[in-house]
Formats: sequence, structure tokens, C-alpha cells
Amino acid sequence: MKVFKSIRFIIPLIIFGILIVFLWRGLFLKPNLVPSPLIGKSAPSFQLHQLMEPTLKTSQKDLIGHITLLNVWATWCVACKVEHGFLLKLSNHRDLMLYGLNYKDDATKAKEWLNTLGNPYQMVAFDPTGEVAIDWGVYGTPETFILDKKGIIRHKVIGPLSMEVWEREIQPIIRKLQMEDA
Amino acid sequence: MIYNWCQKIFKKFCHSRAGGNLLGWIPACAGMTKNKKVISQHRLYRLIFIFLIFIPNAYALEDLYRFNNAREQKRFEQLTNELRCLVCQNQNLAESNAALAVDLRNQIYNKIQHDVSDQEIIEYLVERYGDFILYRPPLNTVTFSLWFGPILLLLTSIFYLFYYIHRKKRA
Amino acid sequence: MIPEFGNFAIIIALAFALLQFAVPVFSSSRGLSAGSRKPYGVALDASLKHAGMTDFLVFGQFIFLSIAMLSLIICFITNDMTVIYVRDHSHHLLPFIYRVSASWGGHEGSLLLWCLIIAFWSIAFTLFSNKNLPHSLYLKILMILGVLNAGFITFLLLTSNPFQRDFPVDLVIGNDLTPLLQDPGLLFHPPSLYLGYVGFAVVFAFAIAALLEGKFDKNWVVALRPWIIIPWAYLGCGIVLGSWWAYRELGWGGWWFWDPVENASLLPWLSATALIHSVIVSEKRDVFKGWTLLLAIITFSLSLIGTFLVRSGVLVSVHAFANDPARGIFLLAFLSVVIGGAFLLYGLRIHRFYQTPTFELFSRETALLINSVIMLIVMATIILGTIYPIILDSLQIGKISVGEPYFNVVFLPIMLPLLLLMGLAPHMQWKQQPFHALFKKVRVNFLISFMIGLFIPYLLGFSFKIFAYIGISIGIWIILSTLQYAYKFRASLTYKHWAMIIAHLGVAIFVLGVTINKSYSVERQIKMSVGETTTLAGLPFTLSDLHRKNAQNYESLVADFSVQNKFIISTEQRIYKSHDQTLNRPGIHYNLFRDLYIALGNSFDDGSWSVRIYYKPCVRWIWFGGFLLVIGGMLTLFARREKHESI
Repeated sequence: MKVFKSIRFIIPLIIFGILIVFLWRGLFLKPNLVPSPLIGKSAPSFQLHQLMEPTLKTSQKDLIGHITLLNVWATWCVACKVEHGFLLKLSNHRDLMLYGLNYKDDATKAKEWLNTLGNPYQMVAFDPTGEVAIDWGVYGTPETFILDKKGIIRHKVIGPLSMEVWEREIQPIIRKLQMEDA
Repeated sequence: MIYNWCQKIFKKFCHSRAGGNLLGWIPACAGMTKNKKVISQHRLYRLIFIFLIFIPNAYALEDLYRFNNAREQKRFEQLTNELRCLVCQNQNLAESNAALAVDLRNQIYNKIQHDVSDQEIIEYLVERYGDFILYRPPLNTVTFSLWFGPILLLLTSIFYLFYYIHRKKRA
Repeated sequence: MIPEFGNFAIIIALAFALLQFAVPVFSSSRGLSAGSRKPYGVALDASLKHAGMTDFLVFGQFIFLSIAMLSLIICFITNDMTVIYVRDHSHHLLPFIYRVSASWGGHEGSLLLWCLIIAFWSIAFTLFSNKNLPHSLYLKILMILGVLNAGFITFLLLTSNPFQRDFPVDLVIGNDLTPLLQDPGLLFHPPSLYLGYVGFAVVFAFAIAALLEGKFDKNWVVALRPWIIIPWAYLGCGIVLGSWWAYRELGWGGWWFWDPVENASLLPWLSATALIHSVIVSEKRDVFKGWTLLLAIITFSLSLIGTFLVRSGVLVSVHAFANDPARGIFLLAFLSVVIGGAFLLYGLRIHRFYQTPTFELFSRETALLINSVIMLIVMATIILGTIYPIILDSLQIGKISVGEPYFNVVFLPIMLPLLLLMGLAPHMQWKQQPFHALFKKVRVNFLISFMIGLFIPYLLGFSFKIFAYIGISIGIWIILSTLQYAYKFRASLTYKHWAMIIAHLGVAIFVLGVTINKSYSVERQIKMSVGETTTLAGLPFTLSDLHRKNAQNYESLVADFSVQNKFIISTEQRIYKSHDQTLNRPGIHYNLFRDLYIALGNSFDDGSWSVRIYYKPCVRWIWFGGFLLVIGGMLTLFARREKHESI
């Protein structure tokens, strides 16, 4: 541009412009959200006791063979209570298996919770120490993993489930997975 | 006179030990010798008595995390200082009281006890939580400009500055 | 009623701010000459004797914003829970002094404080600016300040009104101020910071006005100096207070975390330091005018970007206010226009101010130019590190964190040459400095500092560490160099000299404090019950007592530690009555050379507690050095009345 006598003098403007672009983009990101590096990998192996049947064990093999929603929850987690109603509705879905991972909880309280409020899960694994949850990269409840028939993690939802989250995030993926099998 | 001089050297010796090693038993002697200088005979006996009772307790006091040597402790401190607590607003694992932070600290402690290397511990965590958990960003093609940008910028600016002044002065 | 008064006061202040911009435009087109200030109204005192219309508007703006702030404070004192902002940040049990400081503890209130301080600096400028400045320049500066404040007040009214009310049916007791903020620090740290951030608006306005006028005379440079140094001192004071507060409160003995918001406060300070040095050269040698203008714009831009980063939710930080996308968008749009416009104007007009270098490659001018360049690079580095996660995330390349390890590694190699230069520059001549003459002057100094650096750790009883050696040597190098300079001018020391001497000594003490603290701190985490003793750094610590204490809005468990039977360090764990939040307050015992720092962790079932004990040598030197910098800065207030001395 002829009006700038020397290119040197518009460098501050250019640098500032680039900075603004990135800050603008940054306004629409969620800085606290931790993306999962497990997406595309098979479910981490584990062996835990079941919550409702303490004598029986469960492992990652129980996640294979159907599209699974693995939901990490706890009785001390307020948001889990909020999503519980939606989970009960979801448990009627014919193609989906709802699998619960009870995280750092008290077994008695957890069982009572499910008995009182209803049990949407086909199976619940009991992880009192949280070690298995760490293998899954869990950092805050509630979190939900979507796994395909082969047991590969395809998506992770952070925060409570609701109709809105279902329609926006989860349903498209479930449809895609269903088409993959066909 | 010589006694005082010996005491001073001993105390310095103990203090320098305090700087380098955290077991803390040698410095206890330093405290002891200092007291010896200014107290009476009776108090001295009482102090020795208390010393004998409490020093074994000092050894037996449970360090929250017991390490076999200072190097392991340093490794633990460094790792927990350089990892992010994911449920906090910008705190590291060493400083957070969140449940997840406590769990991860315990995991790291166990791994150090089992002779897992720093690199393997970091890989373990990155596998599960991604690069976001590291406060020290990894060095790869993506972060190359992050790590080397500043020093390259410094060198080019200084050289350009010198060149520019030199050239303008010649004109 | 009071909140409504406050609300109306803000709206009136907005009107004044807009008029402050508009009136000079019209008054100059109506022929009121640029060279005089026509008196309006009754003169209040000597400075206001020739007050023009614009001055009156500035005054009005300040009065009404003060009324608004006062209304907000009264709402807090009376705990008016119908005001949403008061409800979110106060509680009926909250002690009086924290109620007052809570008025700027949240986003809306602190933004009102920001606007008030812009008005304060505007009025300070009308009262104390150099009367020799041409009237057109003076008016332009007030216009720019008016536009800035109008923008911020609009932002306040549209998105963050502190006086928003609702009238709940049930009795509301309030959300309480975050326990971390219930500390005397809240009373001083934000106002001091804001006085700094906002003070740079005056320099910014000055630079824009100068660019618009098309010239930048030497006496303008002289007039500019106090308007740079006073905000710089306030900002430095704010940063030091923040660091000290974090140390006293957070329980880990840390004093700087490279948290994004902390970085945001450091950036304008670094830029202003470069600006101070540039202005000194402009004043003395009539060069670097372009640099001065650029740095003035950059400094205030960094203030604005800093305030954007804190309030927009773009970064993860313990300091960030609750975020709202609407606020972020508005702020970003506003600052793009203001700063973008400023840089555009700079790009278009700066060639008029361009000066060919009149100095040699090896001279004091070059040294100070290198100072500016290195400061800019440090700023760029900090911005890079802070923004890099956003860059990668927005390009969808990945999500990383950039924290303390990065900044420590990258910051030091760049600061080191600057610190070395700091010892050299005062002894360099203007225009041309022969290398061998400089070498002769400083070589003894250099040798002595690096020799003493070797012995000091040994004398203090510490082990040798290379990092400590370099740091201590450089600290002593700066001290000796500054003292040598003071000795050279001992016959004719003015306030300006003293300012520089004290400020540079402050830097040296800061460097010594940081080095010794980082290298030789020791800590211990241990499980203790009452009566047990542990040792650290040669001192026995006995948990002698555990007792409860009841205060106005919290209950606490106090643990007393007896150290060597000589003194007691008390640390407490507080549980705040409002929401059962726990806060651990560490106990500190300090003297000139070391701090002993004890913090409680969690309790165990057997009644024992996890305790952290720290031995921190020379940590107070860090803040003492910072305060010396502030004092040095404030001394230039007195320098104004003196004749030009040679430096």
C-alpha cells in the first residue's frame, strides 16, 4: 500500500490483527473441556465387581457385541441426579445397552439410590477406588462414553445427558454406528 | 574458644545438609548443640531427656509420602508440580485438594515406588488425559514455534537492530 | 432508592463522557482559539482558574461516577439483597471491611471501579498536566479519554450493570464473598492494579494526540514522564501485593504461578518499563520518539487485552470472573476498534516522527534500545505462551497446556542478557562509547560480583548450585554497578538519580530474593498429632495445641506450632458459616532472611493432621525489591520541580 511509507510500520497492526482473530475464535471454545485421547481406541481392560450382584464380576468383554453407552455416575454427584430421569427414558431404547460405572461411591448408598430412583442400567460396575475410571480418562462426573459393537470408544460426552444433548451429539453417532453394521 | 568454633562449624555443616537432604536427622543435632551453649546443667539434663523421647518420634512420624531417597522425592515433587489438576481452575497436582488430584498423586507415588521412569509416568497420563494435563508442553512439530520462537526472535531482532543502526550510521 | 441513584449517576456520567468527546470538536469549529482556555463558571482554585467547558465535563464525569461507586458501596454496607450483584457477593455475616471491598470483588463492580479510575486520571490530567502544552493537544487527549470512558460505561450499562435488581419473595441471605477474597489484600490489590492499568490511558491518549497533531516536541516528552511512571508504580505495587497475597493465603508458599491473569498484569508493566527507558532517551537525546509512541500504544493495548482476557472466559484461571459470551464479544469489538485504530494511525503517521540514528552502534542509546527490544520479546513470549493453547484449539490441532515449566525455561535466558546490560548501561556514554573504556570501568565490578557469588552460599550454609551462583552474582553485579554510579554523581544527586538508583537496587534485591528462594527452599509434608515434633532446616517444630476459635462469619480450628520453644506459629483451618466452605490459612513467621511457613492439609481419623512445613529463605526480598521499584518510581514525582540534570 502506497500510503504506508515503510512496511516496518504496519507490522504492529498486522500482529495485532492476527491476535484478535485468535482471541475471537477463542471466545467460542470451551477451555475447560478435556478432549478424550481414547476416541478410536478399544475400551481399556478392567475387572470389577458388579454393583447389584457383588459376587459377579464384569470386564470390558461385557461391552462388546452391542452399541453401548457407558455412563460414569455417583450418588454424591448432583448433576447425575439431574440426568437420571433421561437415562431411565433411554433404557427403553432397543439397540442400546446402558452400562453404568459407579465412581468412588459407597455400595450401599449406590444400591439404594438405584432401587429408589430406578435402575436404567443393564449392568453396573463398582469402582470404589476410581482406578478404573482413571484408565478411562474420567475427570468429573457425569461422563458418558459411546462404544460400538467391537468395543471401540467412538465418542465421549462430558456433563449430564438430556434430550438436547441426545439430539445434538449422541443420536447422530448412534445412527452412524447402526448404519455401519447394516 | 575452640569449643565455640567447633560448634559453629558443626552447625554450618548441619545447615548445609538441611539444604541438600530432607531426612532431617542431622539438623536435629544442630539444634541440640546450640541449646547446649546457653542453658544450665539442670535444663541440659531435661533437654537431653526430652530429646531422647522425641527424636525417635521424629523419625517415626509418617511423612505423607515416604521415599527411599531424596531423588525419588524430587521426582515426585517435580512431576506433581508439572501436571495439571483437571477439575480445578488452573492448579497443579501438588497443590490441589480435589479427589482426582489426590488419586493421581497416589498413582504417581506408587509408580515411583515401582521404579517406573518419569517418561513412562507421563506417557501413562497422556494416554488417558491427553497433552492437556502437561504444564510443560511436549516438544513436537506443533509446539516447535512455541519452544524456539522466543530465542529465535531475540537473536533475529538483535542482529537486525545492529545491522540497521550500522547501516544508517554509514549513510 | 440508592441503587437507582447509582444507575442514574452512571447514565449521567456517560452523557458527560460523550460530551467530553463532542464539545471540543464543536468548540474548535466555532472559533474558540486553540491557544487559550476560556474561563467558564466560578473558579474553584488556582488550577481550575482557566477551566474550560471540557474541564467542567471531565469534572462532572468524575463526580457522577464517584456517586455511582459510593452508591454501590452503600448497597453493600447495608447488604441490600435486592441488588443482584450484592446478593452474589455478600452475606449478612460478612465483616464490614470485606463488604466494602466486595464492591469491586466481582465483574460488574470492578468494571465500575475501572470507569471511575478513568475519570480519576482524566481529572488528574486536567489539574496537573503541564500548562505549556498546546491547547489543541490538551483537548485531543481529553477527547480520547472521553471516548474510552464512554465505551466502557456503555459496556457497563449494556452487559454488566451492577445495580440490576430483582425483588425475591423469600428472604435471601446472600451468596457470600469467596473465602479466598476475604482478606485485606482485596482492599488494596485491585485498586492499585487499576490505577496502573487505567493510568496508561493517559499516555495512550497523549500518543494518539501527538500522532494526530503530527509532531512530538521535546517539552511534550518532559510533560509525559510522570504520566508513565506513576501508573507504572501503581501497577508494580498491585502486582507485588497480589503476589504477597497469594503467598499468604494459598497455602503452598508460591508467589508467582504464570497464571494467565497474572501474565496479563505483568505485560503492561514490562511494556511500561521499556517506555520509561525510551522516554528518558527521548528527553535527553531527542531520539526514540517513534519507539516512545509505539510503546505508549502497546502498553495501553496490553491493559485492554488483559482486561478482555480476565472477563471473557477465554482462558482457564483461578482469577477469572464468571464469563459471559456477550461480554467477551463486546469487549473484543471495542478493543479491536480502539487499538486497531491506534496502530493504523501509527502506521500512517509515524514516518513524520522518524529520526535517523545519531548514535553509534556502541553507546548508551543502543543499550536502552536493546532494553526496549528485549522487553518487547519477553512480552511476546508471555503472550505466545498464554495464547498458544487458544491458537492450537481454534485451529483444531489439539489441546495443550502451557504453564510454569515453559515460562521458567523460556523467560530466564532472555532476561539474563538484560540484567547484565543493566549493570553496564549506567556507565555507558551517550552517542558513543568506546569499548575499552567501558571494559576498564566495569571489569573490577564484574570480577568482584562473580567472586562474591561463589562465597555467599557457602557463608550462609547452603550448598553450591549453578543457578544460584549465576543469580546471586548478577544481583550483586547490579548492586555494585548502581552504587558505583551513585558514587560518581555523589556531589549532585537529584531525585531523578535517586529514583533510578533505588529502582535498580530494587531489581537487584528482587533477583537475589528469587534466586535464593528458588534454590534453597526446603519443605516437608508430614502427618502430625498434638505433641509431636518434626524438624526442618535445623529447627524443631512441635504441634503444641489445637483449639477452636469463633469469628464473625467463620469457625476455625487453630493449630499452634511451637518452634524451638522460642515462638509460636499459628495456622488455621476455617469453615465459613455461609456455605460450609473450608479455607486453610497458613501460619508464617518471618524475619529479614527467611520465612517459616506452615499449612494444614486434611485431618485423619485418628485426630492427626497432614501438615506442610516450608523453610523459605529470602522470600520477603522479592516483594521488598518490588516495593523499592515502586518507591523509585514515586520519587520522580518530586523530580518535576527540579531543573534538568545530567544523567
